Parts: sequence; structure tokens; C-alpha cells
Amino acid sequence: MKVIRSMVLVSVDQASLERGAEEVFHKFLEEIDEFGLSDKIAVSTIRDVGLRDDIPLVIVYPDAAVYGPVRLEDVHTIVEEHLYKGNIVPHLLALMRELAPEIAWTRDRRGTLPIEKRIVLERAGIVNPESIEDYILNDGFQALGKALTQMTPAEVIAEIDKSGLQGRGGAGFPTGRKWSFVASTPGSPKYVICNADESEPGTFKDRLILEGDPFSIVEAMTIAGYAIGAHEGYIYIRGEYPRAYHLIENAIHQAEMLGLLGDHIFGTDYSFHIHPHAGAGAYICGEETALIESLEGKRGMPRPRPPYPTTYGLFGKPTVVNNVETLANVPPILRNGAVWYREVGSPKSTGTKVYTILGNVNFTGLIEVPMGITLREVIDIYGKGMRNGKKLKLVQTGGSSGTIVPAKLQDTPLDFDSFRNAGVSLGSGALLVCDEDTCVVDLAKVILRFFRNECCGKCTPCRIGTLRLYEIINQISEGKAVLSDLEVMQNISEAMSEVSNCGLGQTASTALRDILKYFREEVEMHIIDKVCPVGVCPIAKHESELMQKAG
Amino acid sequence: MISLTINGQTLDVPENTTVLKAAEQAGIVIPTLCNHKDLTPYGGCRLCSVDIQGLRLPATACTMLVAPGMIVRTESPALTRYRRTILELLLVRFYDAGYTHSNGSPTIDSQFAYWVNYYGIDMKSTMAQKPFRLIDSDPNPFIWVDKNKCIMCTRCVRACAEVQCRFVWTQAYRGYDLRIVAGADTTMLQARCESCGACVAHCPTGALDNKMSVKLGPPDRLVTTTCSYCGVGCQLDLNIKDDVPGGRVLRVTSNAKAPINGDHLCVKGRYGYDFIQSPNRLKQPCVRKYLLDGTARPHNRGSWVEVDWDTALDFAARGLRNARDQYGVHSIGLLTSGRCLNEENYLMNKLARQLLGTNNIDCCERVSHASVVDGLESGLGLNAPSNSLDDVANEAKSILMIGTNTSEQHPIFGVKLRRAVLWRGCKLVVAHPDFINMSEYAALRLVHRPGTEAALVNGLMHIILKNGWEDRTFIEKYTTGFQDFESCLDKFTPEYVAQQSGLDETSLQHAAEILATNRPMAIVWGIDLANYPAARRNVLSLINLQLLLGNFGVPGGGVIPLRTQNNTQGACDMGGHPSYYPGYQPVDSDATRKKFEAAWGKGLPTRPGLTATQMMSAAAEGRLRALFILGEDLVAGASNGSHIQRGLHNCDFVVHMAAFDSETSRHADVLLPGVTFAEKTGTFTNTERRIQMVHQAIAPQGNARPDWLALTELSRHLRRNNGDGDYSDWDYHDTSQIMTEIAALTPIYAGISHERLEQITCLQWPVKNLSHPGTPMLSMEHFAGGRGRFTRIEAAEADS
Amino acid sequence: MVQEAKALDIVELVEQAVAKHGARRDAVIPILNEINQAFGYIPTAALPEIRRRIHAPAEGVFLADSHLYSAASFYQLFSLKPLGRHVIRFCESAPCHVMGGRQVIQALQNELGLEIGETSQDGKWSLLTTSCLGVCGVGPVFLVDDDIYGNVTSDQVPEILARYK
Repeated sequence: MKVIRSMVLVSVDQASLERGAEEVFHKFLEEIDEFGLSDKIAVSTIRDVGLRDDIPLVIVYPDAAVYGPVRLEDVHTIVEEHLYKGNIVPHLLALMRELAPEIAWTRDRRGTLPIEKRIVLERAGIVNPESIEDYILNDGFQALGKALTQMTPAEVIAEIDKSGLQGRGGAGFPTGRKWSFVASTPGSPKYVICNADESEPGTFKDRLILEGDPFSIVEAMTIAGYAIGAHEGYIYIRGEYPRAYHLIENAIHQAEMLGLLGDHIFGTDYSFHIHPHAGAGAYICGEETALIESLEGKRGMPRPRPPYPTTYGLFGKPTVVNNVETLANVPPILRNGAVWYREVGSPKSTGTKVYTILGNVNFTGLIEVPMGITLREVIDIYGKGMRNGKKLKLVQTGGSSGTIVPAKLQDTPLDFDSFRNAGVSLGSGALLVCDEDTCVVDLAKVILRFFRNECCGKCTPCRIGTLRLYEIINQISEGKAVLSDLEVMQNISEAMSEVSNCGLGQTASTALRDILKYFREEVEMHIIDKVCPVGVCPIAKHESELMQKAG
Repeated sequence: MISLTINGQTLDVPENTTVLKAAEQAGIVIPTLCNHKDLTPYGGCRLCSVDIQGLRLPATACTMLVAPGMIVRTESPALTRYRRTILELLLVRFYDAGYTHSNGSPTIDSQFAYWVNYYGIDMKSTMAQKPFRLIDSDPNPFIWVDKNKCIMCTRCVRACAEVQCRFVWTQAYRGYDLRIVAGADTTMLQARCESCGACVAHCPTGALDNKMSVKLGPPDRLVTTTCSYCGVGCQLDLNIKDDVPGGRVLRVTSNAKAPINGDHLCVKGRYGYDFIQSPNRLKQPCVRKYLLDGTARPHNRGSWVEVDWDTALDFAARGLRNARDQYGVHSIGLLTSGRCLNEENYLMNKLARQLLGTNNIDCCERVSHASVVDGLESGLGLNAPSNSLDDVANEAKSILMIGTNTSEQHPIFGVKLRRAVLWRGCKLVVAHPDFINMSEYAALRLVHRPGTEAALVNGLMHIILKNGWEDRTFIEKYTTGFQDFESCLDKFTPEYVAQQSGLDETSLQHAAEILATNRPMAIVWGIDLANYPAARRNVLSLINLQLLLGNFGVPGGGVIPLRTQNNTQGACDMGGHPSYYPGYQPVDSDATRKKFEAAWGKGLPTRPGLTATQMMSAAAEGRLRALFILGEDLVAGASNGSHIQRGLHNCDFVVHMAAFDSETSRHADVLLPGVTFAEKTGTFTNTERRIQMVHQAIAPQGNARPDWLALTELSRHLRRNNGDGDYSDWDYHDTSQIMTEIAALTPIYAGISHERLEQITCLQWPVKNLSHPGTPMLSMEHFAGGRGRFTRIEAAEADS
Repeated sequence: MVQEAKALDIVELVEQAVAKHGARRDAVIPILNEINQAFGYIPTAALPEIRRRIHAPAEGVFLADSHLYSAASFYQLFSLKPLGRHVIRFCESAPCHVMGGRQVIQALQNELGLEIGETSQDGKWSLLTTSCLGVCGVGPVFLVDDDIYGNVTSDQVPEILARYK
């Protein structure tokens, strides 16, 4: 079997071509052939690299090394050193500078690794995200065609239900059940909303799906609309993702041109329209009821629940809200069948999960793996081990609202059930790996500051709780706190997680709670000894004093 | 009904009840701050979090609806802990600068302070240690803003939006930086605040307060009474401090139990109370110096001399007697007041008819309102609105507002209509030559030439008939004169009406369609219609329209003439009318007259007397020699002021009783100091025929006296012999005695007594007996002959 | 000096934005976004212009300036005051922080002499923070206007800033 190990992208924008990109491209083909690597390394082109002076650029995957400007005579060195021997050639690397949108995303999307199993990212980076023809050639719109011409809406829901697909936004609610709720709720019109307000720090899987495979979301939303009896869909894309917005807008337009979206799709009686909507910078809008408020042109403040969006959603109508990654699973399920899908992952958590690996590891980026692998595997295999040989201290899973997993728990399998049992959140799939140089007080401070800034302000525990917790953690980091402050923090944290209105308030102090659970001693050292053992906090690191006390 | 268990107690509540309301019914108190019964639940403060079996986390009782078999626990050690934490957190961003704030209740500082105290938290030591925002940060003259006390419950935001429909307050920014701002972070007035004070009434912390009385401290007592500004009849609480003899009014607060307005008042009702204790009040009776001197009346009536009551009343009685003796009973006229109590108006009617022997009695307001009153009587045979205010606000699918600037003149009703538009999609058509506030809420605004109202309405009816939108069954069953009437519409084609009124044809078509296809439709008009030329014709046209569409006798339909003054309706009801005894009993009916002659022990005049307008003409021509004017400034209140001034000027002898000096009192010979609504007890009848109590809160200012008392005393100076009827005497010790007499002689008020009104606040006449519940809506049977009469309205051109 | 938007431009822009997104309540955020993009901030004077075009009580849409201010002030990408010619948005989320963001923001502050949220006297720079930009794979990250800088170290800061006039 032919396994592509690496991929070389040569920039071929007008300016690059003027500076010999064409020759460089052919030189790569020659050189790779010389080294006998033709079966293992693919060479391709990239058009948009932004306005830069260090062109032509050459990007090598999976390492995402960016070389530039690459002259004809550099090609041999790169092939020999990097592609043959596996060492990046530092002196040929492009200087760090602004990344054009294309580069920014392709750099994040590292190459395919052996154990990766791609369902939702199947096409990302392979098809041209601006070409519907490319999408169709790669099985695009087959699922929709099948649904509209061979299946009833109830059969579509049954198939999704049978696949065991669970929402990938964090809560893990069965998608089929959600759809059947809305399908059976009286009231019209009904709406489909794609939640593309991916704001959890450290998460960018949805962006890669939107930018790498935008047509799949258009297709999936249309299938969802057909299943629940909706004719309007909204895709709420966070304002920080202008490129994703542009690509989705384009995808909608192209699909409409080909009659794959709009009125009488596939020549059937079914009509569905999708409206893209750009967010304007609010983490809270990832919460579905806040997102709906925001779509209606208001402040993104969560509604009380119940009623849930399934009965009282957009404009007060029954609404399905699905996350991007969830929707991206829908076409492959319909195409290949629920049975096929269930074979991937663990019995209770089917399918794959996209993770982002971040922090102090050698490889940071995105992977799609079956449900159920362990943190240790993720760090050692996909993360290629800890950076600089440092020791693992903790992993924060699921973004800033996620739990802290100390090194000793790294063998817990990553699936919904095991995590739930261990009190750990899988959430958005962000895995922030922190080494021994991380101070837990400093980490808590950053996380609490984030929530203080992102809290909508509606409910008391969260509005003033996040403010107070941040104030206290600051005092701890400055050595100005007293031990009883920890009790105050615990009280606030408890009230926040128990009686806040929405997930933000309920999870804002999760990391703090876990830090106090697993690293209390380290926190207390800041308070009692006025020492930051790692030396990060603004209190002076009095080693001598510390030793005196220890002695 | 849904059955659930709260704290072990099983109870049944209606569907869609919140857990909080269910608990309330069971007598279980759940702490809340952001919740208020008038407002949409918010679920922000989280204080009302309770445990519900089967839910992973506690839920807020204010937003959670009951479900069958639900098991709720409102107290637990954990819940107490959370509530304490919430209150402590709120105090982190709370600072009380220590000034005395204005609050209706003398025992609890604020709802917030109550719960802080309840959970054993010491407010002073827990709250912020210094202010973090400007105290008194808004220049609004009535509303005090101290955001140091704001807990972001958003009750002000919701009150402004949902109660007043004004959207002044809003939340801005977010999270820890969240704040309440007016408009686009401007001053309240720039954000188009109407200073109704709803936000103050709904604030649970004192962050919003009443500026004029913020530091005056708590009152000694609250007196619930009826507002004296307009015909809506809101109730309010006068906050009384007893640190001066007789007490003084500290402020006005709203009363959640008020039947019409609840916790809501308008700027006048809530903040316009300083007139009560104004230094400009009349405090001593006065007579002209020429009277004391016994000389002839100078041209300008000469100077005033303060006298005692006895002297003043003696001169008043003598003047009236002289006129009667010299020129006959028809040379005397009496004008009653829509500002005064029903009981006082009744006494005026009795004074005129029994003691002076004349039917020359009318209501002051009728000077400007007469044609409307006539129109109503002629079309419906009844001088009354057909439906209730709430009925229109809650049920009408569309409303035609014509000749009323409701949000200025009847603010609380205006607001009810705004709510009808915003919260239940009622279609409003506003016909007014000016851009009035209500136009902002209108589905369609008609700017017609003043004076073309009748043409406009005829034009609408023309279109309605063309489209077959009329209600044939109703017309057949409940009306007369349709055959004759129909043809008068022929010439009112859209083209013709458009040309007359200055409206375009599309608007006319649109208006007709809105009004005819969104039934029930109600028509609301006010003083501006009366001020138009030919108001009587306009009223008849509007009645035609409602008869045509069958909008009588249905909730949300009918005609609502808005009475300018708080008791215009009552003044008319009480016989302040040249043709009617109290309760619209005609003076020219022998049976009626005999009933009153028997009751009052006196022969009574048989012919209807002069209307107010006729009295003024008669005075100008020297036929009317003496006038007794109760309560108000005739000159300022009327559209034809110069005509009135001429009449007054020519009149030999004028007695004026009022709380303030005015244009009218310049023409008086005897000036009697009356009192405001705060200084007397009795009843007002609002614009929807609802009779409500007025309670004395403070002693009369200076030497002023309640009008009923002065009238009673005047009777002693006038009376020559006692008759021998049941009610011939004038020995009234209080107004409740007068009401007993009214009830005995007035069928529509038969079931009214002060005692009953203290218990029930929703009695609308006719109230046939002491167990009759009153009549919120007049159905066709109440109208003359059980049928409404179509009247041909021919004129089209704007009258001069 | 910080440039303020001109009244005429505002009216024209609102006109265009409303035409593009529709005079609907649910078009408010996209409309505000257009204005923010064009001027770099949302001038308060734009709010009544938007309100006038969307307010339609006959259709049950009641819009006040307060609604618009409330929405405009909620979102982080909107500014209610004019910003500098170049706006730096530094990602202050945990992943970037763990990967060395703390030193970079310090370097930015030192280099510019600005605290977070401030605009320089000469109107050249505004230093803001942003939540995650979704390019955490190359953290620490910041934006200068529309340019993304990734894998930044504190000693690269002066060189990057020098590129902007």
C-alpha cells in the first residue's frame, strides 16, 4: 500500500511564479525522484500566500516547516536534509512574520499520521474548499441525494440515531434524539442552526472543517433541515473567522447555482436556504440560547432553560442547534450507513473525535482519532513527547472550561463515558499539555481572567464570582492572600457551578476546583511561604528562604 | 391543573405556573431579587434556586414551570450556602453611602437589605468600602440614580420596556463590566424618559429612588387614595409624615394592589403632588370689599378682604337669594366640577334643584365637552363609555384613536395601549393632525385636516360597505335607521374623502381594512375631538361606524370617550346636568320628578335648565345674574375662553370655590377656599364608570374646607324651611351619608356605599343593588331602547 | 490624533448596510459590523440612523437606541470609541499563555508604552486583547490589523511593530 509520508507545497501565486516557482516545483519532483522518495512524498502547489517578499515559499508537511525564499539551488538541501534525513533546515526557513489566512490554517493542519482515522477531516486539505466540483468528485452531495430521493425524513433520523452520533459541542447529547424532538414538536417554521461559534480557547477543529471542507456543512445542514422539516438554516460563524465565513458564503452560492441548495433541491419538492451570520466576538455565543439571542440581533445572553431550543428556539420556533463537527459526521453516516460508523470508536462513544494538541509538546496541532484512546497515547504518539524532555505536570482537557488532569491520571481513555466517570470533560477536544515549568496559580489566573472577560453578566454567581476569583488568585500570585481565601474561593466556585444559569458559569471554576484538588500544596506555598515554586508568579522566588523553612 | 409537591406539601396549580408562584400559593416564601410579579421572569439573581428531584442542578423557581409530579425542595443547607454566597457576592459590588432613601415601607429598608439581613450577613462590613460610581448620577428632576446600589437585577430595564414601553434603561457592556445605562449611555431624559418612575417602583435596592424626597425618610403612615389628575382613576399611596399638625405629604408611591394601575403611575400622579402643600393655596375665605361696605359693585369688583367662613357663606347665600328674588330662579346658574367628589357634585345638584329651585346646573367641563356628551346621548342614549379600559387594552384586535393624545392626557391608559401593540400585536390606527407619541406605536397614522373627522369616518364606512365588511346580523338585531342612513355615505368615495381630508386613498383603504378585519375594534377619543369643530357630528359618525361593524356589546369593542378630568364622568352622573337628576333620570319625567320631590320634600322645576354654554351666553346678555362655580378655573380649561370671560364679567354675582386663585376667581365676588383630593374623603367615578374611594390623608390647609362641608353649611344660610321628605335635610356629618342618599335615589348607583367600596374596588355602574357586581361592559340592552341609532351625517367640508 | 467619523459618511454607510442586510431586527449585528469595519468603531451617531430604518411597530418591531447600544457594547469586536490607526489584538487565552504569551504581551506593552485597552496619544496604536483566534497551533499569536503573527517571541516584537507606519 502506498503511504504518503510527507507533502511539499510550493507557492504558485503570480509573484512566486515571477521568481521561479515553476522551476522550483519541477526541481522538487526531480530531487525526490533522485532520492527514491516518489512513492512516499507528494508535491503540490498553494496559490494564496499573501503579500510577502520571501517567495517562493515551500511548506513541508507534516512538520509545517515554511521555507522561503527558496532558490533553485536550495531544493537539493531541503530534500536531502529534511525529506530524506528528517531534519528541518533552519537557515532556509522563512523569517517569522504575518501568516496569510491560507498559511495560518494549513500550518495548523499537520499531515496524516498512521493511526489517525479521518471521517470529518476526510477531505480537509485534499479538496479545494472553493470548488464544488472538487467536492462532488470526492463523494460530495451523495448523502443529500440519497436522503432526498431514497429516504423519508423519519428514516434519516433513524439512521443518525442508529449510528449513535453524539453532539461534539461538549455535552454529548445524542443527535438523532435531538432531531426527532424537533421533528415531532408542533409549530412552524422550524430552523436548523449550525453552531460555528467555536470559541473555546485552544480549539480550532471547527475552523479547519469550515475552511477545509465547507460544502460538507452545507450538505449536512440541508440533510438536517430535511429530517426535521425546516426550510431555513443559519450558520453562526464566529467573527474571528473571516476566512471560514467567506468560504461558507461561497459554498452556499455554488450549491445554489447547481440546485443543490435553495428551491427544489435535486429536483424534488424540498427547499432549503442557508444564511451565514458572522459573530462579533463573544465566547458566550457558543452557548446555544445565547447564540440564538445573538442571531436575533440582541446581546448574546443565555435564556433560562427550559424551554429548550428544540421547542422554543430561533424567533420562538422549534430549532435544532448542531455543532460543526457533529454536522460533519452526518454525510459520511448517510453515505456509508450507521453500521459502518458504529465500527469506529468505542461501543458507547461511536465515531471519531477531533482533538487539538497544544502546549509544551513537540507537536502541536490537530488530530482525528477514534474515541477511547488515552492521554498518554496522545502525548507520546501524536504529540511526539514533551518538548525539551520536560516532565508532564498536567493536561487541561476541553479548553478553558475543561478539567485539569494531573499526570497521574493520563491513562484515562478519552471517551464520553470514561471521562464522565472520572469527572473529566472532553468538551471541545482541546488538550492543553503543561510541563513542570507551569505554575498552577499562574495558569488559574489566566483561565479566570478569561472567564471574567467573557462572562455575559446575567447571573450573580458568574458575574461577580469570576471577578472575585480573579481578584483572589491575583492576590495569591502576589503573595498577599490568606489561607481562608481558599475557603472563600471554594464557596464561590461551588455556588457558580451549582446555580449559574449556563455552562459558562457552571464550568468557569472547573480548572480552579481541580487545581485546588490536585495541587493544593503548591497553591498554599504561595500563601504561607509567599513563594512560587516554579518562579513564574510576581512574588520573588526566595530559594534560600524556602530552603531555610524546609530545613 | 397540575399536581406537584413542594416541601412535602402537595398542591394543585394551573398549567404554566412557575414554581415560585406555586410556592407562593402554598404560603412558602422563596427569596428573590430579580423577580417581580409585573415583569417577565429573568432568572438572573439566582437567589430563588431550588432543588427539583431528577435535575442535576438546582433550578430557578422564577423561571421553572411546574410539571406533573414535580417534587420541589426550597430549603437545604446547600441552598442556604449558595444564597448566602450570592448575597455576599452582590455586596462586593454594592455601596450604600448612608443617606436616607425614599421607600414606601417604614420597616424594611429595601428588599435587598431584607434578604441580606435574613441570611445573617452584616451589610455594612461586607459591602464595598467606598463608592465606585457617582452617587446621584443623572439630572432627571424626579428620579435619583445611584448605581453604587445596582445589583443588575434588570427590574428597571424590564419595567421600562414591559410596563412603560419606553426602553430607556438597558444593559450595556458585559460581565464584571456590565452596567445599566439609559439609551446610548446618555442621560435619562435624552433617552426619552417620561419620568413615570416605574423603574423606581420596581427597584429592589434603592439604586433608583424618588429624587424630590430621597432624604426625607420613611412616612408615618400610608393613605391609599385615587389620583386626581385624569379620568383613568389610578390609585396611589400618599406617604404621610405626622410631624406637623394634620400631617404632610412626603411623597407619592404606587400601590401594587391598585386595580387599574398596579405598581405603575405616570409622572403627574407620582411626582406632581407639590400642589397639595403649595404656598399659593387659598387658605382663607374672601369677599369683595364693596360687599362689606354695602356699596355698589365697582366695574372690576374692587379689592378682596379676608373674612371668616360664616361671613363669606352669608354673603354667598345673600347674593344667590337676591338674584332669585329680583330676577327669578332662572337667573341663577350652578357649575359643578369634574375635579370634585361625587358627593359634592350631588350636593350641588341638590342645592340647585331643592334649595334654589332651578335646573340651571351643568358640569364645568361640559363647556368644552358638551357636544361630545350630546352626541353620545343622541346615538346611544347614554352618556357613558361602553367598555372598560382593560377590556380594550386586553381584548381589542385593533383600535382607532381619534382626537386624543392619550399618552399625554391619560398616560396610564396610553401605556396600556402601547402594551397592547407591543406585546400582543394589536393594530393601532392613530388619526390626529399632530405627531403625537402614540403615532410611534401605530400600524397606520392618519394626518387629516382638522374638522374633516366626520368625512374621514364616513369615507371608512363607504369602503367597508363596498367590501361587504359590515355586520349585517348586528345591524338587523341591534340598530335602527340603517336604511335611511346608508345613502348618506354614497358621496363619500375614497377620492372625495381624500380630497377633503388631505389623506391619500391608499391610507384610507388601508385604515378601513385594518379596522374592519381586525375585530373586535375599539374607538378611543378624547378632548382633542371635542375641541374640533362639530364634535357632536364626529361622535355620531364614530357611533355609526361601530354599529356598522357590530362592535358594541363585545369585549374589546365599543367606544371609549376619555374624560379629561378625574371625575368628569361622576359630575355628570351626579346630576350636574340641566336635563337630568343623578343617574340620568330626566327632569321632564313626571315620575322621576315626583320621586325627587318626595325625597327632598320640595316642589321641583319641571323644565330642563341651561347648559353651561347657554349660561355663559345668558350671563353675557344679562339674563343670568348669579353663578356658583365649584372647583375649577373655567376660563383656562375651555377652548372658548373669551366667551366665558365675557359672561363672567357681566354676571352680577359670582361665587367661586376652589383650592387656587385663578382667572375665574378674578371675576368672583365671594371666594371660598376649597381643598385638594388629599384633604377629603369620598368617591370619584373614572372614565370607565368605575367608582373608587378617595381618602383624606391630611387636614385641610389653612382655613380651607372640603367642598361638601362648605356646601352643607351654605345650605343653612340659604334654607328657609325644612321640607318633609326622607332626604330633605342637610345634616351631613360625612360623605358616606351623602353616598347613602345618592344610592337610594340613583338606580345606577344603587349598590354603592363607602363601606362596600372599601372592600371592592372594581364596581362599575350600573350597580343595581348591594350584591350586584357592577357592569364592566355595557351591552346593547343598556342602551336606549336596546338599539343603537344610525344618524345621517351629511356635512363634509371642514366647518369653521 | 484619533479620527472621528463624519456625520454624512455615517448616514451613507448605514443606508448601504441596511440595504445589504435588510431592515430587520436580526440584521442588527451584521449592520453594526459593517459600520465597525468601515470606521474602526461604531460612532454613537450611527445608532439612531439604524434605529430609524428598522423600527417598524406595525410589524411588531420596536427598536430603541438603547437596544442598539446594548448590543453594540456587548461584543468584543465592536468598539464604541475610535481606535488607533493600527490595532493590535493579543490573544490572552491559556494555550498562548502557556506557550510563552506572558513575555510577549509584556514586550508589547513596554515597546508601545501602553496598557491593555489604551490608544496611543498620536493615534497610531491601540493595544487590545482578544480571546482565542483559533490558531493555537502556532501560539503565542497576535493580530496587527488583519495580519496574524504566530510563534512570536518577545524579541521579535520591535521588528514586527516597525513594519507599520
